[in-house]
Amino acid sequence: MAVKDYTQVGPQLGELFPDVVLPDQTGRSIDLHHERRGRKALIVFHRSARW
Amino acid sequence: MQLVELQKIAGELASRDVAPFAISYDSVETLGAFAERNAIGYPLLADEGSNAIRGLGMLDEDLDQHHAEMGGAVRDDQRGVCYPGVFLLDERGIVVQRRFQRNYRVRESGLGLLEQALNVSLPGAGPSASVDRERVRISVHLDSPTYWRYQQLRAVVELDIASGYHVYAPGSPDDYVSLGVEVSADAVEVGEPLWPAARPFSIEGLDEQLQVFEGSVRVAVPFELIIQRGEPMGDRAVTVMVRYQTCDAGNCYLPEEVSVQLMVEERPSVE
Repeated sequence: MAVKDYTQVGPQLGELFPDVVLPDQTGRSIDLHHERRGRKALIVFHRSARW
Repeated sequence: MQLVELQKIAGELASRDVAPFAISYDSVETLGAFAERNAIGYPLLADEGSNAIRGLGMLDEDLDQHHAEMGGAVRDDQRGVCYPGVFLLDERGIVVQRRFQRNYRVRESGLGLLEQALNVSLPGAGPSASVDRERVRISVHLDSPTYWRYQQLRAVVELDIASGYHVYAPGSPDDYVSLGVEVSADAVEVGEPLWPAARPFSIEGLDEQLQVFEGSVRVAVPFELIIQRGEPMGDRAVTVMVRYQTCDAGNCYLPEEVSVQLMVEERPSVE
């Protein structure tokens, strides 16, 4: 079985994180880069809040 | 769970000017209910349909394989799930750190994640112990007081080396005792230690180029406690052993070993 090379997954080191605009838990549209207002950001990709 | 852990360190993140975000394929409704139940105040982004996740190259295309390894089939409502990964962006939005879990069910403890991402120690995160020896003080702590199945923990070892002394960094020639950290427990998978940068060092009259640590040294070792299915819940003992040899410009002292045992408390899985 091929082992996934996680170093190739997602945005890479040194790259600008792409624009992401998505609704938050209240339904408000969030533009990630705008929302962080020049702050650093910790972005956690998680499977699901349900399972 | 990871998202709740992250909420617990929201203050720490704010004081370091870090804005947290979470992304999943859950609906606004699912995330809204979850946020309310767990008092989550930071943005939980809802990528229903997984278009953003796919666009970011984060769509888990190996779900069937992962589930086969775990001995279960994939439900239809699990399609579209993302790889569990964590990104740290700097003020300009550039990716400066990225971490992926070896096993997709391993989850970070929030404190461990922050500790590594920002290279800071957060005392009080988990059980700790300190040992004073001549020329060096050794402090050990775990980054969480509790664990749950598949959680990734970290043992953090800090050495305060007296001025004028050094210890040898890993990779030193065989006749030098280099700093070593070993984590053990009844059933445990231990990852690679994260070593700080060492300083080049040479001994007068010898050609050898050596690497040493001086002053404050911080080493983090990731590990995961293995719990068998059906195994009763209970506290677990984690032993952290530190081996080192202190030297000054002219002399080396006898190698020493310091071993501490820390207890972590098991919490029921949220699944």
